[in-house]
Amino acid sequence: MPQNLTDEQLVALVCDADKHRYAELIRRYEKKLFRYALHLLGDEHMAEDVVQESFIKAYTNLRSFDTKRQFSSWMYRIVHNQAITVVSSRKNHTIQLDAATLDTTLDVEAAFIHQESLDQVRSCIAALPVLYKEPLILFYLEEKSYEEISDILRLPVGTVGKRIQRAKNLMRKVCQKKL
Amino acid sequence: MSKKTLKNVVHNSDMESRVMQKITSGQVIMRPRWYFIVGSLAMSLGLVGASIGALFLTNLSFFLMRQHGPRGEWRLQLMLESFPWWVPIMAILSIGLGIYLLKKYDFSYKQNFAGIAGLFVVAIIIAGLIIDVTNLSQVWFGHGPMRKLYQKADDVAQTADSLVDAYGPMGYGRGRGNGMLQAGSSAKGQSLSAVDITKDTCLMDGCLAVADAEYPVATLDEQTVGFLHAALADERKALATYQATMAKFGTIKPFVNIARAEEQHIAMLLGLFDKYGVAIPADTTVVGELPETVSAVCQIGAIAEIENDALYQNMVPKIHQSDIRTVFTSLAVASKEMHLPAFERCSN
Repeated sequence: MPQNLTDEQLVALVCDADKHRYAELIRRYEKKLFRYALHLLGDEHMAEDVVQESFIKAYTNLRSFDTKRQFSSWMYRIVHNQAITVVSSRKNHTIQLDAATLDTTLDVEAAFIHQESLDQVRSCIAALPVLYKEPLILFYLEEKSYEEISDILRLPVGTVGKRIQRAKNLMRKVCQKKL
Repeated sequence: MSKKTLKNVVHNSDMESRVMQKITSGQVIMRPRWYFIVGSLAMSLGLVGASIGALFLTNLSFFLMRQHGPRGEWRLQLMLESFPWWVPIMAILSIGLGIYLLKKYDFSYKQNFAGIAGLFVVAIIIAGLIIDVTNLSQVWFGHGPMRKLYQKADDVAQTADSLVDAYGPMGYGRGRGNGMLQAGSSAKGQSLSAVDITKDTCLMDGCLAVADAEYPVATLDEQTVGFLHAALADERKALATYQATMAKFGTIKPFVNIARAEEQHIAMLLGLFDKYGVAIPADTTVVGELPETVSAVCQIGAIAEIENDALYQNMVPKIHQSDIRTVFTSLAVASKEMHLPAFERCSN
């Protein structure tokens, strides 16, 4: 049964000429990747296009994937690249924030946990630059580890930690302004 | 969107069927494994090529910069005027390409990339220095794929050296007679040992140090013989003109100094005639009527020096013998860098 197979085993099967198995991989990641792209882009149609294009790119380049590594990180990386291309092409107008003036007590972790503030959190995240938005989404919403985020964003693990910390600070400031 | 929670975005689409339709219909095809193997190989070769290129060019930069040894100030000035700046620029570009390709490797993002890039640059510079210090560049000067590049750089160095030898560090007009241009001046501004001088590179008295330099050392082709004749005729004409000028206006500067320099240039050329057993043509130079003012003669002299430089520039690329190339290049630089400015000053 395909459900019992790992992502990497499925990839190996698809590469060995059973291309119909790719549908299982799409089913496994379609929603997660759509959600990730949506947070990055803030537009459903764009997010859907990006994810669909990412699945096609992933299939085209599937033989370059190293099955000893995590398929999910590889897939997120492709979506990341596609989304960044879209963001760059439409010129990101997100506000640039000065962390030196941060002065708020908003608990970012708590805000992610409490459902009532989710809409507010989402709008705060949307206002962040992509540079900080991405690690924050991957860490809190996609529940990826620092190691996985490092693989997806191609950043050293230490830099991931720093970016998430800075993103949290920036988010406090954004949320403070919106309140 | 606003009604949806962050983690439970509802997404109903037929993306799966759309993507699978493209795959099954053959609209989207999986690339073969060899495609990626070739890509990896090309990237690895690119990195190796960029690294080797950067290494060679960095070393060549050091090789060129080390020209100013003894008599450094004088030689440095000449070197700066003729330094092939494209070499260090290409070295920097190669290093940049190497860093770019390094960034493409999977391992690079796991580490501090600034550190990796810094290490790469430092490694290239240190390796370039080691090659220079251990005289490997001298080996490459004589052999290998970079031989022509090093030899071209050496032409510049020898030109600088020969000018120092010909004119001395205090200015032109202080030549030392027939022994002024020795191929024994190395690219490093130090005297080469007799072992380093060959019959192909030796000049004039320098050939005495070469055991197998029996005159004529070789037979020149017709074109090169023609070049020697053209060079000699041009230098003779210049000398005759400046002597005629002094006969008319007295022993005045810069003619007195430049005439002596022209005598040395002729001596250098005659040394080549002798070395290759080429018959020395009779001097049939005829000097036309000179203008009435020194300033006007200086203007004629300036034009003659420009033409003399152009003559050598045209001939040098077509010459295969390194000694003839060295002499011609040094004479061209002398005309352009020494005589021409002197004439320009006096014509003003």
